[in-house]
Amino acid sequence: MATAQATKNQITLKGSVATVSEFFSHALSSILYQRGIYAPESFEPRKAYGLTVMAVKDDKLAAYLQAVLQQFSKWLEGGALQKVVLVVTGASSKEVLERWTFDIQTDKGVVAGSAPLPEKSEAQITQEIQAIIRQITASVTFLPLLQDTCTIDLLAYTDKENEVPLDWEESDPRYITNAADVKLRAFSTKVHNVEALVQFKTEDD
Amino acid sequence: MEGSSVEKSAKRRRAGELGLLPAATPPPPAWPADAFASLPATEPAAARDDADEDVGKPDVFEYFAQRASKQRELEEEVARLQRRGAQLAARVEEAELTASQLRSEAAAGTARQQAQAAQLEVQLREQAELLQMEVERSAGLGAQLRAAQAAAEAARQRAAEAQAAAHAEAAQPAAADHPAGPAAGELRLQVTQLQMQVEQLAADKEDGERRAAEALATAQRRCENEAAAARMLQRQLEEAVALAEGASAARHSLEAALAGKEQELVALQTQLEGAKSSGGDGVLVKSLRNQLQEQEALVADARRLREQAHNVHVLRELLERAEARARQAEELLPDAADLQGQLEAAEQQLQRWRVIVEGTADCAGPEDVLHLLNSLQQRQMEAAVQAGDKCEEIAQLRSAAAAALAARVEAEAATTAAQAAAGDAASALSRAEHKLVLLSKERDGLKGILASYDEEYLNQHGAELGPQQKRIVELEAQVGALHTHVAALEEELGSRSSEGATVSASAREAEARAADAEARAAAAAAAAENLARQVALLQERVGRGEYNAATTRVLHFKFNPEAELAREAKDARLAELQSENEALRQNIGRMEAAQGRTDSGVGGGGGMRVAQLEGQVNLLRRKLADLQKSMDRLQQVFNKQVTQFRDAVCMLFGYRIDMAADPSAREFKAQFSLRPQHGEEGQLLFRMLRDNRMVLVPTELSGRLQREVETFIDRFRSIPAFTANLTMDWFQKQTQC
Repeated sequence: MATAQATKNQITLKGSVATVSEFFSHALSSILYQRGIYAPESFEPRKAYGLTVMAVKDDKLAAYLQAVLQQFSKWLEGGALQKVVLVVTGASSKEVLERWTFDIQTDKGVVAGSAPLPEKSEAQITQEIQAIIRQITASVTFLPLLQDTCTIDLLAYTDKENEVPLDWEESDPRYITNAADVKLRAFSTKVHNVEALVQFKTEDD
Repeated sequence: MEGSSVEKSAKRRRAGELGLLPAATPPPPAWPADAFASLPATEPAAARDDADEDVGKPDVFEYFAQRASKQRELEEEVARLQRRGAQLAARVEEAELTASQLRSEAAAGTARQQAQAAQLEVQLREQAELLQMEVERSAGLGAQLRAAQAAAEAARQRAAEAQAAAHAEAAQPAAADHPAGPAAGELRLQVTQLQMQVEQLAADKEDGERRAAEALATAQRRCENEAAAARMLQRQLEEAVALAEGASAARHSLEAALAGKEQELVALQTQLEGAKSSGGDGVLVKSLRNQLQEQEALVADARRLREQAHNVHVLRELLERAEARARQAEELLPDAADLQGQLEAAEQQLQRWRVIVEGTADCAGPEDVLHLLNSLQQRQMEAAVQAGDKCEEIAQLRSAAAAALAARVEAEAATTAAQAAAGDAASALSRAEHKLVLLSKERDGLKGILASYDEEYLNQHGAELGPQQKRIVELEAQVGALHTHVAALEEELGSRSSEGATVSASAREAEARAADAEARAAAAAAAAENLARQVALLQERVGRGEYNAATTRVLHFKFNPEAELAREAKDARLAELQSENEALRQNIGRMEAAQGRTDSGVGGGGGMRVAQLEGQVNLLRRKLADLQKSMDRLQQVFNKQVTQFRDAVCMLFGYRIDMAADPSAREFKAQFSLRPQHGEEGQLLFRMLRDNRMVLVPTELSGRLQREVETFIDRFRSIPAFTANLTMDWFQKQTQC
């Protein structure tokens, strides 16, 4: 019994990658819905982490997120993904308005297979992810209203020695001038530690 | 006179009946001689007239009757005159009362008016002073504002020149200007905002000054009007007072005249009584006539007094109006206070802006303003860094002080312990020395005693050793032991002293080590704080998105939404440019053709017109294509919504409803076919007539449901009931099956 429980709480690399990818899927959908970047009709409610989260149902957007998250999973398995950034840009002004940063620290030992598998209960991980999703939902209270039509881009900070996939290209970091940042919560699977941060453009006084 | 003649005849008859009438005329009665002599000498003419009249009166009775009648007449005249005099006196009293009341009212009014005039004067004086101060202050503020406006105008001109120069320099490479462009733009924006605020403030200040000047002028005019009204009222009051005084003087004169007249009346009465026997009636009548004239003059005076009383009433009304105007002037005083408050607020704001403008007074142009801002920002950053360094030093010093304090406490404790130990050793040493001294003294004493005993013994017994000698030897051995013990104590004391010295030295070493440890701890704490700050800075940079380009690369998906949007925009723009290009090519072709026709003799204006029209046609075609695209999109959305609605209706009501509209049909607007989702095959047909009535069209299915048709549609005229009944029938059939 103790061995079964210990086995259940062990976190494998693939399991951690799947957890982190699923988190990215729901977190990015929540951000796009809460910030009003896409119309509410493009989302549908789904149950996840004990919450009702809004998931993308627009075909084009869902295809884009699917392609990107697939590549993220590959990089996560190789331990090459350092950071994921969702950039929100004004369509007419071409100005970066918000930057949602998910900083990823990877246990290289587990990736290399040299370290033992860590243990952490699934309920605890779910609770930590739930807190981040709630914070994303609550962020509308302090983030400035996005007046113009906006578009998005997902940036991936990867190790330089990794090859660049065919459908990907290098990009600039898309900094924000006059930015204020708010640090959000973090969650950890003991293999991957994800910290969330949101930066937004402050209005000129 | 007839009455008197009748009386005379009656008296004569009686006198005759009594036999009193002599044959000869009897001598006249012995009237007192002074009776005739008492006639006033001043009325000789009247007396001669009366005597002339009396010559014609042989009868004494008639004479007395006449005299009596005259007397009665005079008495009546006197009574009338007295009544008239009483009336006149009453009138005079009334006039006097009225005059006294008016005088008192006039005095009170005069006093009130004087008091109000004094108050008004004081208020006017204060308002004039306030106005003067406000005017002077407004002049000063206006001068300051004009100076600030001149400075802002000069800055604005310099900013305009700098903007023109900046626009000319905008062709420089964007990479070099990119970091400075936003900052310069922000600074220009700040300068522009400052200028706009200065202009706004100047405009507000001008408006405030203008309003204040208008209000001040209005208040001044009102004050002047009030002052003039007060002066006029004052004059009127003085006139009223003079009139009242004249009325009182007239009243006094009237009283004196009345007194004189009363005296005369008394004299006349006495004269009349005297004249009853003698008859100085003519003089009395004349005097009475004179009195009448005087009384008439008194009446005229009373009338004049009445008119004066009326004038006083009018003056009272004027006084009330003046009081009302004075109250209005008092109500204007708060407005002046409000204006003063507004002026003070405007002055404070102008002072603040003047300070700001003075801060930029050294700047010759916009570049100087930018440099000033940059220098201010740099100085601010340097000040912040210095403040941070100072804080760090303070923290270091505080930690060093705390550590030194702790070390000092420890060293003091060690020193105290060492001192206590040294004290103990010193006290032990002193005790040992004291003991040594005592023991030495005891030894010497004992030696002396022993020596005396020895001498005595030797003197007594010679050189034999006895028990006493043995005892002496034992005592000497004890003394020797004591000496050795004392030596040991001295050695111990020496060692204790050396130990105390070593303890002090060790305490000093410990203090030095503690100071070193404190310094190291403080340095470590400072290093830790620096590291923490560096960590925070690095975290901030990481949060901003900075990364190590040597180890990290930033990638993004090529077909991301932003790129797609840019691509679509580019495609749309390309299509637009291509269509414009095509239209221009066609225009050029037309123009060349027209030019060729013109050269060959055909007019070219028509070709230009055709080219323009073709260009317009191309534009319209493009618009049409866009509209068609949007129409197709709307049609798709509409079809999708309609299909969704029809599916929902089918699921909710159990019938697939199709609508067919035939515009050419005249009887009905549309035809609806209901195909049941469950149940029997076939369909029900309904038609909506022109008058919006829905009728059932006979079909095979409706023929099988004739009973329901007759019941629900023909009798109760309810199609929903018909369809609901059918639905329930089919549902029951299905569930029973």
